[in-house]
Amino acid sequence: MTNAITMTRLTKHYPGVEALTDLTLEIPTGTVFGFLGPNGAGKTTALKLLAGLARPTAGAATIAGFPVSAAGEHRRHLGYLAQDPRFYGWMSGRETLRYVARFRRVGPNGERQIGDLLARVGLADAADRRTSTYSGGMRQRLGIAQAMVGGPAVILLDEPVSALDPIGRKDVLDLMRELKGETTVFYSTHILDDVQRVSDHVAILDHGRLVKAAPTHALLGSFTRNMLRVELGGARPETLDEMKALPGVDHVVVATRVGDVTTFDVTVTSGASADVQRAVTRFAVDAGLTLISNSEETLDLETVFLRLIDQKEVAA
Amino acid sequence: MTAQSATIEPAVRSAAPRALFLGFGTVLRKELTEWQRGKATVIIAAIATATAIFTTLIPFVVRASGESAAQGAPPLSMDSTVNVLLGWKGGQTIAVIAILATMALLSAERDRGTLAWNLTNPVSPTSIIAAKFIAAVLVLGIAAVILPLAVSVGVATIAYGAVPDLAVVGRFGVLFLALPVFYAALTVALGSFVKSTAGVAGIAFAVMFVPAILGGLVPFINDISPTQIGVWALATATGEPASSLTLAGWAVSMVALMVGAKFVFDRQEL
Repeated sequence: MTNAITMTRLTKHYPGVEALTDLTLEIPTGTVFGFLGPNGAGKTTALKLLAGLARPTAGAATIAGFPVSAAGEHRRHLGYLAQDPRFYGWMSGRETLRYVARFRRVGPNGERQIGDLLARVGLADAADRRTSTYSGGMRQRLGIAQAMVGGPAVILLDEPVSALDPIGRKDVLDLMRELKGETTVFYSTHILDDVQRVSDHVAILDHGRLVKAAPTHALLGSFTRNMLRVELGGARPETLDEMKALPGVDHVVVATRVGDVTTFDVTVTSGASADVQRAVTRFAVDAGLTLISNSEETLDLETVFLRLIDQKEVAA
Repeated sequence: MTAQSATIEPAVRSAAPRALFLGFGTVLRKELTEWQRGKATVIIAAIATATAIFTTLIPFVVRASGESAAQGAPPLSMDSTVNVLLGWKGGQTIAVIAILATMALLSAERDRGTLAWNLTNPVSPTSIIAAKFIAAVLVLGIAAVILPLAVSVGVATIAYGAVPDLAVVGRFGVLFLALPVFYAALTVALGSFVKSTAGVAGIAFAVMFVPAILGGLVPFINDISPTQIGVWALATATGEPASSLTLAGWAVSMVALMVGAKFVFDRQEL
C-alpha cells in the first residue's frame, strides 16, 4: 500500500513554544485517518505545515509523492478545510467552487461536478446565495465541498465537525465514511467518538509529539486484550476469591454491584481469554450463580486515549 | 504501514519545478470580478472624473465670473490642452485615490481569512500579490486616469471651443500611469508585511508627503523621488525639461518594491 502523506521528523518550533516535534507518520492511501489530541497538541500546526501555510523548522513532508513547499505545486493534489473556513462573501457557494475548480484545472465536466458536490453537502438550495449569508454550519459544509473539488488525492480537514449541529455532524461523518477508498482523508478532531465511528487509522498527538499511531481496531484491541467483564447474579462475598482461583486468572476486582448483580473485571494471563471464559461459565453453573455476561472488555477510544496520554504524562 | 516508522526515508523524491506564477490567471480573474462588483471602482471613477472636470473648467469659470480681471491676477490660459492637464501636475489627487483604493488589498484578506484559504489552493504567493497589483493598476489606470482624461478632453472641447492636442494628452496619460503603478506597488508591498490597513495607509501617506517636504529643502530629493513621477510625466508629455533621475528613481523603487514584496510574502506564515 502506498502512502498518500508522509511526514518525516516534521518539526515546528516558535520562540518559546515547541508546537510540533519530530512527527514521523505515514498515511496510507485511501484511508480515513483521524488525528487526535487535546487542544494545543499540535494538530492544526501539522495540518498547516502539510498545506504549506507554515514552514517547518525541520523535517519534510510529501503529499501524493510531491514535496510540500511554499511554491504550492503539492496543493494540486490536496483539498484543505480550515478550522474556521472563510470565503469571499460576495461570491455564491457555486462561484466559490468554480473558483477552486479553476485552480485545480477541473475539466469540462466541472459544472456537473460542482452541482453534485453542492448536493452532496446539502447546499444545493443555497448554491446561488452569497456566502456572506451562510451560517457557520453551511460554511463548514461548503468548506468540505471545496476541499473535494477536482477529486484531490488527499483531503485535510481541521476539526471538520466542530461547528456543526448533531444532524450536520452526522451528515459530514457519513460523507467522510463514503470517501473511504475514494480519496485519503486526514482529519483532526478532539471528538473521540467520531474517530471511532469513521476512522480506520488513528494517530494520537500530545504536546507536539506523536504518542501512538495504529489502525483503529488494533489500537482498541491492544487495550482490550486479557480483560474480561463478568456479570453474575447472586454472587456472594467469597465469589471474588473463588474467581481468583480459576486457572488463567491473574487478578479480579469488583467493578460494580447493583442489587443482586455484581460486575467483575477479570485480568487474565496472556492468550488465556477463551479458556477463562469457559472456566467462568463452568464456575457459575457449579456455584449456582446466574451468569448474565462473560465477555472480553471493550474499551472505547476515549478510554484508550486517556490511558495513552496518562502513560505519557507518567513517563515524562 | 501507518506507524512511527523506524526508518526515515528522504521525503523529497523529486524537485518539483518552481511555478512562480501558479494560479495567477485565476486570482487575476477573481480580483477583476471583485473590483467590478464592488463600489470602489465607481467611486474612484466618479471622484477622479469630477476632479478632472473641475480643474479643466477652472479657467472657464474664472473668466465667466470676471474674478480674474477684478483681482488683477495674470490672465489664465484658454488653451484647451493646457486646461485639460491643469489639475494633473502634482498628481496628489490620484496618489490619494490610489492609496485609499489599494491600502486594504492584502490586510483585508488576511483579516477575513481568505488569504490563508487562497494559499491552500494550487497558487503561489507571488501570483496572489502580482494579480492584486495588476488588477489594481488596471482599475486605477482606467477609472482614475484614462476615463477622467477622456471626459476632460470632451469638456475642454466644449468649454474652450477647440479640441485639445490629443497627442500630448495621450502621451501624458500613458506616462502618468506610472504614478498609480508606483502607489499600487507600494501598498501591496507594504501589505505583505504590515498587518493592519491603517499601518499600510500611514506609511504610504508618509512616503507621499515626506519626500515632497524634504524636497523643498534639498531639491535633489525631488529629482530622484518616485513620488514626483507625475510631475515628470507632465513635463515629458508637454516637452518641458524633465530630470531622467526621476524616471530612474521610479524604476529602482519599483524593482525594490516588487522584489521586497515577493521576498517577504513568500516567507510569511498564516
